Amino acid sequence: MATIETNKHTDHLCWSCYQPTGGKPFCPDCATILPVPPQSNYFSILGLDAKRMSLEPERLEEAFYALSRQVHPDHYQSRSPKERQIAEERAAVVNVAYRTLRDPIARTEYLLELETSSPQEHRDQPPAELLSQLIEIEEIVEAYRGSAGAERGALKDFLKEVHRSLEARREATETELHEAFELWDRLVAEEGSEEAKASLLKRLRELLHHRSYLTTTIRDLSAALAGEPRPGS
Amino acid sequence: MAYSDKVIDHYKNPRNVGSFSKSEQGVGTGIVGAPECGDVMKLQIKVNEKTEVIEEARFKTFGCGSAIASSSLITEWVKGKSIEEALAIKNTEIVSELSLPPVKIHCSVLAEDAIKAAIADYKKKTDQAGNETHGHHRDQ
Ligand code: FES
Repeated sequence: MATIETNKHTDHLCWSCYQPTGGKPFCPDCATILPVPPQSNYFSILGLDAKRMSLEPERLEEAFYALSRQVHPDHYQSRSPKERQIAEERAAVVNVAYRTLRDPIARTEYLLELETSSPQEHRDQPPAELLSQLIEIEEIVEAYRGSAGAERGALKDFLKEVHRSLEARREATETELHEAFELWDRLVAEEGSEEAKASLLKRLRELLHHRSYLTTTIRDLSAALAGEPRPGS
Repeated sequence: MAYSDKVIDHYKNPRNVGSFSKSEQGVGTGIVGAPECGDVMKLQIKVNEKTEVIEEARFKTFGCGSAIASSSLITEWVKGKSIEEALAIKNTEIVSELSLPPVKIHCSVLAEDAIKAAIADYKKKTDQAGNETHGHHRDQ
C-alpha cells in the first residue's frame, strides 16, 4: 500500500538533512543522531546479525558499551532538545536490548516473541513423565517438611540427592538450548525451510518450559532443605 | 498482591486435598503445569462408571495461592456433575468466582486443564478396559 511505502521511505531519511540514513544510529551525511527506526528489533539495535542466537557475552558487552558511549547524555548537553531526547530514548532502548539479549533465557523468549504468535496458542503440555516426576518429588518435599527424627534424616539425604540430579538435568537443558542456538543460526544463514525453523522454535519453547518446571521444583527443594516454606510464585 | 477473601478461604482451608491410587477403578488423573511459573498440579476424579457422574475429586497443587484456590474450587464444583458437565467448566468462571486479577488468570487455566486431563485419562482407561475382553489388566 502506498501509505506504508511513504512511511517506510521517510523513516529512512535523516530528520535534519533529509539524506538517506541506511538505518544507522547517526546520519551518514550530517552525523545527527537518529531515532530508533520503528521496524527495528533488539538485535538490530545492538548492531548484531538478524536474530543471531549464539552470542558471545564479551562481544555483546563490547557492542553495548560502545553504543552506550555514543548516546551518553554527556555528549548531548549542548545539543538541541530534540537531539537530547533522541539520545535518551536510544540509551534506554540499548539498555533493554542488552539486558534481554545478554540472558540466554530472555533472549530465547524474545526470539519466540518475534517469530511466533501469542503464547496463548502454545498451551501444549510437556511430557507427562516430567510433570509426574516433579509431582512425586514435591510430595516427598511435603512429607519432609512434616517429618521428624530418623525419618527426617533419611528424607533429607534422599532429597539432597534429588536436588543434585535436578540441577544436572537443568544444566543439560541449558546445554541443549545452546546447541539449538547454533542450529538456529545455521538455519538462518543457509535460509533453511520454514518447517525446519518452526520445529526448532517449538523445541526452543519446550526447552524453556522444561527449564521453568525444573527451576521451580529446585527452588522449592532448596527452600525445604534450608528449613523454609515453599517460595511464593 | 492482595488476594480476595474467597481465595484466602480456599487457600487456608483447601477442600479435597489428597490423592487416589492411579490404578483404582474409575479414577482419572490429570497432571498439568503452567510453564510461565513452573507450578504443577495433580487433579484426580473418581467416576461412577455406570452413571458417568463424578463422585469425588482430589488435588495436590504445588503452586501459588490462586492455583491452590482454583483447584480447590473446581474439585468442589465437579463433585456430583457428569463428566460432560465437568468438561464444560471454563476457567473464566473460576476467575469471576475468585475475583482473580489478570496476572493470575493462568492459575485458573491450570485448574481447567487439569480437569480436562483427568477426564481424558478416565476415558482412556475405561476405553482400554473395554477393549481388553480377555480380562487382562494392563498396568499403566
Ligand atoms: S503463579 Fe503459577 S499457578 Fe499461579
